[in-house]
Amino acid sequence: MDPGLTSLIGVALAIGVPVISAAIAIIICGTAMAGIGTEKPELLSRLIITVVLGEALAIYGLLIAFMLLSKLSNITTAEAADKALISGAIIAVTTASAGAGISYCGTSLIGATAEKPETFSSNVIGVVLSEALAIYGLLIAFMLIGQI
Amino acid sequence: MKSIKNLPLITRANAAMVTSFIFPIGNRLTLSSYALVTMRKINVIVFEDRIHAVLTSLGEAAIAQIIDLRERTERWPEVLAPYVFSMTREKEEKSEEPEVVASHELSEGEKQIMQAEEKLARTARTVYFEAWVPDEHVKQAVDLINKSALGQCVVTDQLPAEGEKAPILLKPVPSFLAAFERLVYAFGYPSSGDINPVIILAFTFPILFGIMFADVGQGLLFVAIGILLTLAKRKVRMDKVGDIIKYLFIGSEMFILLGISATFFGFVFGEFFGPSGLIHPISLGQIGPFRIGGFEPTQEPMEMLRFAILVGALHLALGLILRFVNEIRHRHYRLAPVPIFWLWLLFGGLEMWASYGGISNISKWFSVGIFMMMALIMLPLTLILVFTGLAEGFTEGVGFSVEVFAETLSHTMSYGRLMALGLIHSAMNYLFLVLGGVEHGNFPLGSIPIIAVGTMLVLIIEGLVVFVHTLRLHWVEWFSKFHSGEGIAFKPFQLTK
Repeated sequence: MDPGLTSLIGVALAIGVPVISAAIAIIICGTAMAGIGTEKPELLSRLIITVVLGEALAIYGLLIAFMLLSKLSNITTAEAADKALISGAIIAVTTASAGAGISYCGTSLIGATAEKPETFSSNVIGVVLSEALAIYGLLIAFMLIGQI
Repeated sequence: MKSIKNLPLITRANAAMVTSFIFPIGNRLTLSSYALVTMRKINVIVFEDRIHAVLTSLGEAAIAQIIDLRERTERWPEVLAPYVFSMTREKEEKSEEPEVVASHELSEGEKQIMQAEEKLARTARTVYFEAWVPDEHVKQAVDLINKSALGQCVVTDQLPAEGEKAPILLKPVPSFLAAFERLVYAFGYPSSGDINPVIILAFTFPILFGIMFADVGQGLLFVAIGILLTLAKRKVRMDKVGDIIKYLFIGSEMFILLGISATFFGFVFGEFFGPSGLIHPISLGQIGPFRIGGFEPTQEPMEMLRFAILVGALHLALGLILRFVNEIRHRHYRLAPVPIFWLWLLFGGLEMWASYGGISNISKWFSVGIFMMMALIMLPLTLILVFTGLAEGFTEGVGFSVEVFAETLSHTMSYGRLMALGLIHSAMNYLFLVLGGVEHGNFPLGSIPIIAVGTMLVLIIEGLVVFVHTLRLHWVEWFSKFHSGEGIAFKPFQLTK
């Protein structure tokens, strides 16, 4: 395949999939928050962490897409193009996993916190560890781009 | 109703079987961040016809003391520094019909006493209840109960049993740290006897935020917003503003601290509204392979990653030191060496990484660096296993040392987000710099509106994301070392007048 096209697919993956993952996480956690907010609005300031961590996934995608875009002019060989494609794929897959984790753990966290606020500190671990998955992907994608 | 609303510090009576009441905690407020005030449990048996009088006097004593405490807390920042603004309270509005208000207050108080009475254990003639009282005020409390019960009572006091969770009486922090206090308590209160991390967090939180949000221009903007909000806060009635505005007001002093830190790291990484080239990075020095500043993160991301990991290791080390202090305070002398070995492991791993490289050079760890690895990684892990095993049993020790190994690795790596979010911050700003046509520190006139729009976006979206990530680094990576968040706050039984 043409190196230019391959790397452009990488850019598309890097921005597209993280945005979808972020959207899913925000949609699921945001609606759950809205429901709990009618019962216990004082908890919302704590629970907003689920939505913001979901949103951060899109920003990771943005960073990788942006870095790939700035390298586009350097990508001439098939090998460099493959690296661009794979780094896009890495951030896509890891943010999708993180999005799934945040959606599941986030809604459970929101529901559980409404019932027993003191469980928040233990339950929040699920959400933040899911989010850490995306950071691991980000680091690796980042190092890969550095080699182009 | 108004008069009840105006007393925010007085919480509702939380009278289960255990009720409690408060007396002032010493005459001087100190900067000590310790949450430790020894609590005693008193057991009271009163004749039934006196219980009403006892509860009334306990509840009223608490009100007088809390108002006194609150006034001293609010005067405190003025003593600390002239530029810290204290929250001024509006004068209470005079009600037009004082009789109505007075009778309402009276009935409200009666209701609370009735509710508390319902929850007490009783026989045909006597009532029994337990109360938590700060150690130094047990005598006062017992005297008060004796007096109001006209001597028709039996009172004993005891220290909490081993393993029993006593409520904690938190020493008030200066009101300009109120936002940090909320961040800590949203996670959970410190357990009895643990260090209260609010004041330490007020130092580390802005530092981590500033590394991710490094920018001279936007940092100064943050400071300006913070100062404006602090000034506005004195003129605005807090109960008349919306939720979001209220949070901004509470966090106004925090904005100033975050802004100062962001400005500082802006100079270190050379950013003025993004990597515009106006400010050159200032190097603060070098520790081995770790450069502190003096490079542009977007140009040398690996340097930034090293710096982020170094900051992470130092932050975790602070958490481990606090864990050591906590263990000593709890007199867990057998477990106290564990955080020290953990520090050894943390910095040992860092040293290995610095001298032999990371995952890609892992074979070197096992060939050239095998003896160093034994001393720096294997030995502390074994010692952790042995010490935990001796204190809590062998299986516990194995589980814990595996956990220590995994945590050290994953938590340190998690600080890589300092680099990631710092780069995202520069990248987002760079986007608007390119759109505005800024080159080599020259800002053409036409670029200003574009940069203004970009700055708005960055301040709101990026600011929120960076804030939550800073919070998460503290809640998960840092607190898991020493702050369990399992404490129970001391909510004294009191009448809302």
